[in-house]
Amino acid sequence: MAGSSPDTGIAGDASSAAEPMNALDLLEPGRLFAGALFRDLMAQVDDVPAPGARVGVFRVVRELARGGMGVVLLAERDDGQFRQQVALKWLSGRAGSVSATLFRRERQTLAALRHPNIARLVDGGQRDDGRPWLAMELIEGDTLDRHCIARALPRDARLRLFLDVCDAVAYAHARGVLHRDIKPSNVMVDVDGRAKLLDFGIAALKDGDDDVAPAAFTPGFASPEQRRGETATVAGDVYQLGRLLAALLARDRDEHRTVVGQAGEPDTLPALPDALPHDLRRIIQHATADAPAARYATVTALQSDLQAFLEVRPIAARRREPMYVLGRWIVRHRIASAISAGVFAMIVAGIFVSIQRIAAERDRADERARVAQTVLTFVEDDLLAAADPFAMPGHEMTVRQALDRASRQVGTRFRGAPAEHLALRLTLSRLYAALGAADQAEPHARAALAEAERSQPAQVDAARRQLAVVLAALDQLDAASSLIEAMPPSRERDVLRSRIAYQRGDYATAAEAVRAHVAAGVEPAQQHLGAVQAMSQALRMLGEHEASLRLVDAMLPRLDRELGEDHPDRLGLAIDRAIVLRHLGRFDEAAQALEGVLAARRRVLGDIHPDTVHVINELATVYQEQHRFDAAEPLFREALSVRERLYGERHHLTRNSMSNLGLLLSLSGRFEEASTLYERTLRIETALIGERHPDTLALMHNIAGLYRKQSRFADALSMHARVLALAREVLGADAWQVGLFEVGRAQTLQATGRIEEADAAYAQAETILVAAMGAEHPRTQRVREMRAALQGTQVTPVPPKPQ
Amino acid sequence: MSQVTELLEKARAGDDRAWEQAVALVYDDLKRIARGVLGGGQGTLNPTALVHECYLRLERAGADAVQNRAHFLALAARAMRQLMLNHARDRLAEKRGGGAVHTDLDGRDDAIATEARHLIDIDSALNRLESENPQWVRVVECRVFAGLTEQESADAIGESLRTSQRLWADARARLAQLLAD
Repeated sequence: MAGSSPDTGIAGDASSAAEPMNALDLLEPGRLFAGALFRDLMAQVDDVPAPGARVGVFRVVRELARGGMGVVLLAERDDGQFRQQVALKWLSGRAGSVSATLFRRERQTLAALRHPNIARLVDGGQRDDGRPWLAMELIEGDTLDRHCIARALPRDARLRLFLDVCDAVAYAHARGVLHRDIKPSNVMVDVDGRAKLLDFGIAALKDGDDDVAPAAFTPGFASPEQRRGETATVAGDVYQLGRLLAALLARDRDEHRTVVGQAGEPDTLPALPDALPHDLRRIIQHATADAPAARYATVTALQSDLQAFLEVRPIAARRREPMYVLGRWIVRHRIASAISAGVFAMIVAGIFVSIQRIAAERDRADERARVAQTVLTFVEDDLLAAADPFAMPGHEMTVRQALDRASRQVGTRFRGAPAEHLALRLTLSRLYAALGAADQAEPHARAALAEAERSQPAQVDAARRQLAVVLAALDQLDAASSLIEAMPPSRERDVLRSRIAYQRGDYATAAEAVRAHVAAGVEPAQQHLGAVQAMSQALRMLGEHEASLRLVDAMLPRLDRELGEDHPDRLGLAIDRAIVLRHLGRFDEAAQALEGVLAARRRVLGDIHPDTVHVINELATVYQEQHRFDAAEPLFREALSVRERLYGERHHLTRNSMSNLGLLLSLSGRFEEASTLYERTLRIETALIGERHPDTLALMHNIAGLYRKQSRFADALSMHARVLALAREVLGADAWQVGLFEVGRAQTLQATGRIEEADAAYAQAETILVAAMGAEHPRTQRVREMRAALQGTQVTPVPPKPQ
Repeated sequence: MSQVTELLEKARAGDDRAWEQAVALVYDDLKRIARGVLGGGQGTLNPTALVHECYLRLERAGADAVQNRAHFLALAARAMRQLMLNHARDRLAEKRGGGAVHTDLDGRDDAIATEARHLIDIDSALNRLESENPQWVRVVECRVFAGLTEQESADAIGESLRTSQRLWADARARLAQLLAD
C-alpha cells in the first residue's frame, strides 16, 4: 500500500459491470446486500418448522424458547401409537457440520443416559443437510434459579437440589459423557420438585458455525479454558457446576444478576452472593479455580464437600482447608503456576482419602472444628500472609518453601495445644508425602505419633498409619511393619501390609496378607478393589501371571457395572491388566488395552493430567517392547514435556521420563540425542540429590553404557571407574549394585579388546552377585553366560572397533 | 433479551467485553430473524428491515428493554459484519476443499468466492482502521453492513450528521489506500 495516494485508491483492474472485481465496490452502500454472497447466506438459513409441521413422528405444536443452540418447540407424537409430548430441539448449525456417524454415536450415548435427574432423550434425527433435531423428555416446571428465587427456598433445600444435579453429572461422567453447557436455564425443576438436567452433551453436536463469533459459549458459565477454545474436560463441567451453585444461592434477582453477570472477566474471581457462609464460599471458589487442575478433581469430590456442609459435619470440610488455602494461594499468586497446579492435583487426591476417613469419626465434632480452625488460621496468617509476594516483593515462594517455613514454626507455636499440634503435624506430613518428599514427611509423622501417644489416644492409629506410609516410601520397611502390626486388624491395615511385603520383594507374603479379603469379596466392588489390586500385583511378581489376570478380569466387569467404564478406579485396574498382559508377552493386547484407557483419560481428564501421563508412559513402554520405536517416541516426549510442565525438571517423575526417552533413543541407535538427554538428567540429579545417590549412580552407569555404544571408550571407562569408586564407598564393596556396575565395565573392556581385564571384571562381578543374590539368580546366571561367551571369543579376538 | 440490555448498559459505561458479548447475543437473533423474513416469502430481503425488526423485538421484551435505539443500531451493524464475515470464511473454506463439491456452472459460485475474498480483505483493513480511528470503523459498519442511512448512522455512532459524513468520506479514502495493494 505504500506509495499509493488517497485519491487514486482504486486499484488498476478494470471492473466488470455485473460483478464487483474490486473490494472497494462492496463498500458502496447497498452493494453488499445485492450481491451473490448475501443471497447465498440467506438461502442457507432455513426456517424453523411451523406449528402443524411434522418432524419425524412428531407434530409441532408451538415454539417454547429460542437460545444459542437453536429453537425449542413443543411437539406431540403423531403416529397413532400413544400420546406423548416432547421438547423438540431444532439445532442451528452449518449445513453438514455434523456427520451422520457422529450424530448416530452421540444419539446412542445420550439415549443410554437413564437417570432420575436427567431429561431423557426420546428420539432424534437429521435433516437432509445434516443438521440434527432431538426430541427430549418434556419437563414442565421452572428453571432452577427462578424456582429458588420465586419460592424463596431455604439454602439447604437449594443445596439438595444442586446435589441431585451433581449426581446426574457424576453419573454421566462415569459413562464418558460431558455436559459442556451447565447453566441455570439448563436445569429445570419439575412439578414434583425434582431437578432435571437438560441438554446433556448436546453442546458437542453443535459444531462449527459460530466458531468465529464468541457466541459458542454462555457468558458467565464458560470456564477460562473453554473461552480459550480448549477441549472440554471434567474440569470444565466442575467449573460450570461451581458457577451454577453460585447462581442458585443468589437470594433475589439483583444478586442473581451480579453473580451471573461478572463471570466473563478472565482475570477476576467470579462474583459471589453476599453473606455466603465461609465454607460455601470456599467450595465455590475451589470448583471455579482458574486452573483446571486446581479445581475439584471430580464431581464426586465437590459433592462430598457439600454433603459435609449440609450435614453440619464441620470436620470434613475444614480438615481440608489448610491444603485448600494453600492451593488457592498458589493459584492466586501464580507461584511457578504450572508446577503448582500439578502438585495441587496430587495434594487434592491425597486429601480426599483423609476426608473419607475422617467423615466416619463424627464424635467430638465441636472440639475438632476448633482444632481445624486453629490450624487453618495458622496456615493462613502465619504461613501464607508471610509468604505473600506483596509483603515480600520479588520473593515468591514455592510450595516447598512455604511448607518448610511452616515446619520451623509448628513446634513452638502449638506447645500447650496438643490437638492442634497433632492435626497440623499430620497435615504437613501428608503434604510433604504428596510432594514426593518422604524424608521431610517423616519427622512430622513422628512428632504426630508422639503427640498422639502423649495426649490423644484416639488418634494413635491415624498417626501410626501415616508414619508407616512414609517409612515405606523411605524403604524403611522393618520400621513400617512393626507400626502396622501394632494396629488393630482391618482390611486397610492388611492392604498396607501387602504393599510393604511387595516392596520387600516378598511377594508370597504380599499375596497372603490380602488373600482372605480377596476370597471374602465385598459389595460394593470399589471397597474390594484395594485388596484385589494388591493381590493381583503380588501374583504378577510371583510369576503367576495367569492367576493375576483372572483376578483382574473377574473384577473389571463388576467395576464397569457399578462405576461405569470411565471411572478412575476402573481405569486404574485396566492399567494393571495391561501390565500383566505385557508380562505375559501379549504386547498387542496390552497396547490395545492401554490405547483404550489413554483415550478415556484424555477425554475425561485432558492431556495435562498426572494420571493421563502415567498411561502415556505405560503405553510407550509396551510400544518399546514391540520395537515400535516410532510409536513410542512421541509418547515418551509428550510425557516428558507434560511432566516438566506439571512438576518442573527436578521432580523424580520428570527425571524418570528423561531416562525413559534416553533409553529409547539409545535402543533405536540415536546415541547423540540420547547422550545429550542423559547428560542433562545427570546434571540435574547431581545438583539435586548429589552424585552419591544410588539413582545418580545408576544413571552414570547407563551413560557409560551409552558411551560404549558410541565407541567413546575412554569416556566410558572413566565413567565406570567413577561409578564403581563411589558405589563401593556409598553402598559397600559387596553390594549387588557394585556387581552390576562391574559387569558394565567388563562389557566396555571387552569391546575395546582388553579381554583379560574384561574376564577379571566379570569374575569380580560374579563373586559379588553370588554372595548378594545367590548363584541361581537370573542376574548371576546372565553374568556367567556373558563370561563364558567372552572366553569363547578369546580364540578369535573381537575386532578393535565394534559396531 | 434483558441480558442484552444489561450488556449494553455496561458497554455504554466503557466495558468492551460487555459490548462483545452483546454482539454475540444479537448475532443469533439476526440469523433467526433473517430466517423468519425469508420463510415469510417476502422475496428480496431488506437488511435494514432486519436490523429494525431486531430492535423491535428488544423493545417488545418490556420494562427493561433497550433505552437507546441508536446504540442498538450500531450494535446490530457490528453483528451483521460478523455474520457476513463468517459466511465468507465458510464459503472460501469449502472452495479450498473442506466442504461439499460444487457443480454450479453458471458462475454464481465464482461471484460468491470473489465477494468473499473482497469481504475478508475489507475486514482486515477495518481491523487496522480500528487502531487508527474506531469511529471510522463504526460508520463503515453502519453504512455498509447494516444499510443505515446517513442520518441513522450519525445517530448510531453519536455524532452530528456533518461529522458523520466527514468520517465516512475519510474512512473510505483510508480503506481505499489500504486495499490498493
